[in-house]
Amino acid sequence: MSELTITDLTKSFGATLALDHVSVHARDGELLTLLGPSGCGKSTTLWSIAGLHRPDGGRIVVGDAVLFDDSARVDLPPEDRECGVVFQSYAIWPHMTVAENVGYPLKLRRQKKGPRAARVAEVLDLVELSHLADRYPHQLSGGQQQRVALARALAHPPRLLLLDEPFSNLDAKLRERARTWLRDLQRDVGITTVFVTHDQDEALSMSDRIVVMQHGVVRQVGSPEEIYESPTDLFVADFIGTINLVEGQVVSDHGDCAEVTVAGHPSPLRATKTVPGDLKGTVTLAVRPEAIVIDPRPAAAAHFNVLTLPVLDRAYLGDHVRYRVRLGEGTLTIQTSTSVSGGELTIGLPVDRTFAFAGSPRDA
Amino acid sequence: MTATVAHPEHVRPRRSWLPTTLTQYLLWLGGLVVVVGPIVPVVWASLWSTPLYEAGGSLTLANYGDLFTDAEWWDAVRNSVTFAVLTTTGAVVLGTGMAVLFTRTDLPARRLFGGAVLLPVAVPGLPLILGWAAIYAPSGYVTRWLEENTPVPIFWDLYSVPGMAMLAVGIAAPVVYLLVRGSLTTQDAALEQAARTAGATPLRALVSVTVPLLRPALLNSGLIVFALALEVLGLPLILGSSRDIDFISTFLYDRWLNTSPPEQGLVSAGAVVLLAVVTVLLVLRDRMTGDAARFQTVGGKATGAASIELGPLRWPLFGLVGVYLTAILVLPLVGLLLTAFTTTLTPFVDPWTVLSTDHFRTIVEDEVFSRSIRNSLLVSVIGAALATAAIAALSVVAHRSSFRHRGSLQYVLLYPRAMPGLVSGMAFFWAFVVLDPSGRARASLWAVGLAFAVRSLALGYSAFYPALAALGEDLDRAARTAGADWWTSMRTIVLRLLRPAMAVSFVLLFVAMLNDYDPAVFLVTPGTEVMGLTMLKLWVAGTAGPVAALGVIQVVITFTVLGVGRALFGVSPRV
Repeated sequence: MSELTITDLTKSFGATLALDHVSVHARDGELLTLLGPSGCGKSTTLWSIAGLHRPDGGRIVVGDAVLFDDSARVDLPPEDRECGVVFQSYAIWPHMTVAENVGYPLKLRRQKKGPRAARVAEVLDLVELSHLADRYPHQLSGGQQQRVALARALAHPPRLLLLDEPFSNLDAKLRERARTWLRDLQRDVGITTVFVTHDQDEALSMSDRIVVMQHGVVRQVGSPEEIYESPTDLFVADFIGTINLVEGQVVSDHGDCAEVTVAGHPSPLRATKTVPGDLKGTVTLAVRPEAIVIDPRPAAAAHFNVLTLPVLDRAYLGDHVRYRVRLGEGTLTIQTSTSVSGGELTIGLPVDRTFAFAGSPRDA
Repeated sequence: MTATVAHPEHVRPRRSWLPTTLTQYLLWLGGLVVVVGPIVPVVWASLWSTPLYEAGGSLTLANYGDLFTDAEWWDAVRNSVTFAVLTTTGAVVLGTGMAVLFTRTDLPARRLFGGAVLLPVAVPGLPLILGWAAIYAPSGYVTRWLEENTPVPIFWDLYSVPGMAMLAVGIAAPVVYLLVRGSLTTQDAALEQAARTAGATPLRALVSVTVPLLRPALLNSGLIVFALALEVLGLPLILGSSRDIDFISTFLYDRWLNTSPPEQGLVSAGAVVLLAVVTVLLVLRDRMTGDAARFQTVGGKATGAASIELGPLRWPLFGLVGVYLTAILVLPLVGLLLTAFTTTLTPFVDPWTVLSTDHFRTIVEDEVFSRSIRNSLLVSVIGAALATAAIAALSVVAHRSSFRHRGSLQYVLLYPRAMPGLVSGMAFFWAFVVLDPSGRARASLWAVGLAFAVRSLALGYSAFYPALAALGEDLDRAARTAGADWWTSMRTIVLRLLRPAMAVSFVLLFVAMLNDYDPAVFLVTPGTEVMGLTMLKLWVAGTAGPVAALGVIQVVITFTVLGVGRALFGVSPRV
């Protein structure tokens, strides 16, 4: 069993708070992604787990091993944490062959030559690099180097696999392939993995669960679907994918649903509340461009805010069309596969996919 | 789970025999003791009424009182400061001029000149001074020849303060040249091009944009040269002694060695004053130039900057540079060679008729000479190896560890640069006196070796650090997470990858220690002579030929080692 539990991790660099009481839990065998813009604290969290940064406070536990506990003055050095780390730069040692790189963790643990070579062969086979065992790093491509780094991290089976933006140095096409490959490998090996990235496509396509972070604070934790379809936080809604943000004022609050007026638009709009509690004053309505329906069936009107709005412009993008329409003083972007003509568009904003968040769009 | 992770037992990785923190504390303490430690006894000696090896005595300021009321001290200070000002001015003007000329104009053979102008940095100081004396002294070859055969007036006097400064400019100009060239080649060519598009001629752009931007480099190099000029010992000892021109260094040297009874308290006080002044100058320089300039690397770098067409001045300037290099470098080296290989060197006798290898035979036969060479080689090889190891170990503690006091180590490594050689020699003398009253350690070659090694720490560090900084930290982090403790990750990854940088450091330290002499002044005992000091002492005693021969040997060893180092590891001169 190697689940990871991080409790109340804090870390400041000078006056900036890099981690503000971060608590994260990764289940055994899960691939957990830390996602956020640069400076959100995701790498600091990862490095704190690996022991390469010393947090100011909090607790990190993997399985039954306490890696760090500020109150109990436990701070294992990185070499005693049994974490396999794949660095963004790969950090393959240039003076060692592929096999020597992979065998290094085993050599440190005084594994005999025979079993060591066998294990190195096994791991290299796993990452499909057996034929390159005697090469030096400079003779490898970026993708191969990355796999060497992964093999090295797995050589002495770690409690935890930590990946720090491992794909950022690969070109777009290779990246796509590497994602699938790594995902499959992680499932096969069944090792609890923490993955850091700023690339949402990567996070959405690979993760079991995603932790979205901003300014050292965890904004939302959930499966890729939850994060995308039902963000509970304005920042998360805006950061993941494309979304329309419209400022409005709450007129009434009906528990799950709120009615909101938008400046310049006559009738109030119904929206789903993302967090329980009273909502009043300025709010932001958020709706994804592809959630908006064109010409909704009148029978389904109860589930939609039906609006007829002037079209500002239209862009044909092959597999879909993007419209911009005027809503009050602002605009809405609509993505659809149906092509319509005319200066006006009747659209339906699905109530269950139109979210109301406290605060104005500027807070996103 | 598949078989690939079926290694259930978590084996504890191998650990170094010393715990990490203890290793780091020991290294830190060791560095502190050898670098800062020796300063304590000098200061103590300067404040004590009797020499430290005698019993009794009490705390006193009398040594400083004596020093500051001594008219000769103030004479020496005046001479030293005049000399330093002249040297700095000359070196900055010449060095900057050459840097601009060789990097920004179409001067013929500028690349060749650019290399040749650096040679004085590599030539050992004493042999070069001997060569100058043989050529330009009032009785020197060129001086006499000009007097006899041409109406050219002899406008210089090598045995005067301006004369000595002339020689020093030749040695110091390359220091300025290196720093200014570094700054010139790293400057963004777009700055000058912007001025060109605004309508400035190339020369105008250079003068109004580039040169003002050089100010930090000029200030930086000027302060180094000034500090070095204040502490110089060999030059005034060889050239100034015949006219009784004392510098601060020779004043201290005389009062220690040639006064009976030796005024050790007063000399210690003078040394402390000199140390304080030089330290202040170099701290000032660090403040003004910041860390970046401290580690200025000097490698030729192609520059896209516009070059200025010299037009009709091209060939006259070419000639001028040629004459300059011949005068400061080629002729003195020829002079050194001729002094070493002839029985007498004067324009009145054809040197070819008095060729002889007698001086070299003297070196082989005379125990003092041959012992000096053996000792020097021993000290340089072992000292450079140990100092390189120490620099590497201290550098990784300073820059690649989470050791609590790592910040102070950088200063420990750089401080020896602020220590005048004379002062560091005296510091070690007193340290040995206090720690080892039997005097056995002080009388061994190790004492000299240790003083030389500590003095050269900063040089080795400045060669080693850029390579360390350029090595990605992920490499050692990866080793740590793979299960290596701090020292193992340093040993198997960082230091292993930095072997070439260590080789460069070794070559530079070897040469520096082979040619060093001033710290030995106070430490040498019969049997532990080193080349530089033997040359100095015998020259002052009036022996020219064998000393020149020893100088030739020193130059040959230096150039061979530097050449091999350059071919194998790309060693380049640095300041």
